[in-house]
Formats: sequence, C-alpha cells, structure tokens
Amino acid sequence: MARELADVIHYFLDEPREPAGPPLLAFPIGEKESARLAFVWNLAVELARSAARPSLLVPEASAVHDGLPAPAIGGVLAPELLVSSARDLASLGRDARPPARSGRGEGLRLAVVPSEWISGATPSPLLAWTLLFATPDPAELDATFELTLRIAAAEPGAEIGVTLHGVESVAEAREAFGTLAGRFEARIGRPLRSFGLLLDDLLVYRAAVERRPVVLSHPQSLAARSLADVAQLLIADAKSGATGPRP
Amino acid sequence: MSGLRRVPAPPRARVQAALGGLLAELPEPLHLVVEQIAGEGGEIDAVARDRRGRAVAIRVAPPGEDLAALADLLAQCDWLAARLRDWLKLNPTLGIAPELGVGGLLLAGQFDARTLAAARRAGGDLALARVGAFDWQGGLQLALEPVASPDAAGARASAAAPAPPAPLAPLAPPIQDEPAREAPLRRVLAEVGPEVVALESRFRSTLRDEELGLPRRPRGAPRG
Repeated sequence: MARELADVIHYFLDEPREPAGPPLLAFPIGEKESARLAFVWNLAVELARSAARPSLLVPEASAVHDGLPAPAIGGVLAPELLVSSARDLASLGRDARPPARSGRGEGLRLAVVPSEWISGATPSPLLAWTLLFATPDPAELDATFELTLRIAAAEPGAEIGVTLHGVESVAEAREAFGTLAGRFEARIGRPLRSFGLLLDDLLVYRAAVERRPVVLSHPQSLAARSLADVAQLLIADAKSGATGPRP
Repeated sequence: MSGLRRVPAPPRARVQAALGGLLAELPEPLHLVVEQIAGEGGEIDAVARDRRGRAVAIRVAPPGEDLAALADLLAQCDWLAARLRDWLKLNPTLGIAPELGVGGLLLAGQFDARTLAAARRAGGDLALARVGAFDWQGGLQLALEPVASPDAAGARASAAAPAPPAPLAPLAPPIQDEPAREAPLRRVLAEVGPEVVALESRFRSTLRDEELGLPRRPRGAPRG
C-alpha cells in the first residue's frame, strides 16, 4: 500500500515528533514453557535492578499466566505487573500500547505473548521487537526457526532477537545462534539479533517456585550473571532504538 | 548440488519483504533508505542508495507488467530527484547525494523484449535485475540476477536480432546444467546450504566459559 510522506516521516527525523510509549519487547512463550517464563520474570526483575523501569504485561487468559509467581514478583525492585484480559494477539497488542498504565514512567514494557496466538494471518505490531529463547537442540532450533517465520509473516519488519540457553559452552551458543541466524537471513533476508545466553540453572527454577527472583536471592550466582548480561544487551538496544518499527 | 531447483517467481509481496537483504547482495550493494512511499500518482517500492550516495528508486514489477512498471519507474525517478534535497533537510544523515541524480532499478521475474529495449534506450540511469527463485530442501530462496548492462546489450542488438525474452522458465532444469548462471547460483548455494553461515547476524555476549562455570559435564557426554 502506498504511504504518504507523513506516514514515513520517522525514517527521516532523528527524534519522533510526539512522545512515544516505552519500547515494547514481546516474549513468545508456549504454554508448557515454564522455564522460559521464569527467564522472563527474572529478566524483568534484573531490568528493574538496572533502573530500566520495566513493566511486564501478561494475558490473563493464557496458560502462561498461571506460571507466574503472583502477585508481587520482586518486592521493592519489582517490575510493574500488568494483567491483560486479551484473548488474542490483536487485543493484547492494544493493551500493550499506551496509554501507559504505570504511574512512575516506564522505561521498557515487556509482554508475554502465548506463542500459540502467533500466525502469519494475524498482523501484529506487538511483535515489532521480539525476543525468543532457543536451545542448541536441532529439533528445538527447527521449532524456533518456524516461529521466527510466523513472527516475520505477522510483522514483516520485526526485529527478532534470540537468547540461547541449555548450552555447554559459549562457543556452542555462538554456533547455534549462527545456524539459526543463517537460516533466517537466507529465508527472510534480514539479520537476527543476538541477546547472549542464559544458564539453565536449578536456582532459576527453584527461585520461581519460591517466588523469589534469583537475581535477588542469589545475586552472585552464575545464573544471575548471565541474566545481567542479557539485560544489559536489552537496555543498550532499547536506548539505541534498535527495537523494530514502532507502531 | 542436487535438491536446488529454479521455481516460478514468488508473489510481489514476498519479494518486497526480502528487498533489504536482496539489494545488499547485489554485486554493487544498495542500502535501503525507505520502503513503500507514495510517489508521482503511484508507489515507489523502495528508495536505496549506492556506495557513492546516489539515490536509486526501485520497483518490483508484477508478472507480465514489467514494461508498464518501467515507464512508471522512470516517472518516479524524475519525481524523486526533485525531492531529495528536501529529504536531506529533514535528515542530513541519510547519506544521499542529490547532485548524483536518481537511478532506477526494476525487478521482475522475467522481462519482455520491449522492456529490455526500453531500458537500453534509457541508458545508465536504469538497471534491470531478474528475481530468481529457488527451492532448497523445501524452502524458498531468492536472489537478484542483474541483467547485462543495457549498453552492452545494445551493442549486441545492433549487430543482430532484437534481444530475446529472458530465458527464465518455471521449473527449469537443475542449475548445474546452466553454466551461464553459475556465478549467481553459487552465491545462492552459499546462502542456503545446510551449513549456512549468518552474514549479518552477530552473536553477542560479554561472558566467557569460565565466568559461567562451563562446561558443566565432559564434552561428548549425553545430554541429561
């Protein structure tokens, strides 16, 4: 569809003319992916620790909502938890966008998106900046690749990031990311964004069960260190504007 | 090389979605500046710039409409040339040099002989590239195959019959039987083989194995 200059003015201006909402980062999470949901929760708390002022939006209707430790998820350093009544991607996208419901000024809004809701038939600016979790397992890499294609179909300009976990070394994470990114580039013609790696540490899951984020309960742990590394990458990209097209 | 075969060009929207990567892979890469803007009574699919900063208007022709798309593209080039300085006022960092004029790049699955002749007449301001589509292990891969310089084609045409229509045919024989196309197809293979390498994506982490207590079990040991 042809667009007028006013529609694309953001390509040419250094700063938006109107105040935009906070950067929005979507986390597609399957209903049985409780470990990855724990990562999201811990990342949110780590981002709060880093003064990124995050909020976390979760659809009440999805199964993933039940996996979140509720209601207070981090004590004083908690990100604001926003519960959406959305039952599909479109309504979740509306809830994820301003007007911001936070009274303290959000720096970054995270949204848990049930991955079952994502299909190429449902366009969604909500997915403009998306972070996926993947392991080096070939079957899981295939599934992640398939999910990237669905996201790219729903939001063709999406900036898609990947964080590896379940790796035995940094080199393995690098190799798995390279494989996935190469397939994505060959198919879609654009790069994937790397967001490092996270440790599959028992502490992360135990902390989730105990409703205490690992970055607070075990701040010196290796798992917390990897979470801090990923959080810093997210903060850097949010500041630089490398967050996909803003709806 | 078995398994790679040419297939009919995909829908225009699919080509548009992959435009950024395809332009970057041209022998003389182009960098996207803006996509899908309204031009002179129509649409410009994209505006890119070459390494010198020359703006290039790009049109993806629907099947069988390449001749009309060429005429439209020339009109859009003229429209765009008058606006580049305004664009630079809005954003001086665009990297575009208005004094170099505006080039045009027309993309199509195949070109009518009249399109080739018209492009020849337009000279160096206009370039053509075929959109090659390939099936690789069930996945669709795209590549741009620049059509020979209109000037060179013109020299041949003046000594012989008019240039024939592009030989691209749906479901053409396997590519190794087409030596003339070996160069661009080799590039496609480099992009889509099983050991495919990411060209633009870069792994990022500040952590090292020793900071993460990795590896946690002997290499080669089965995963738990």
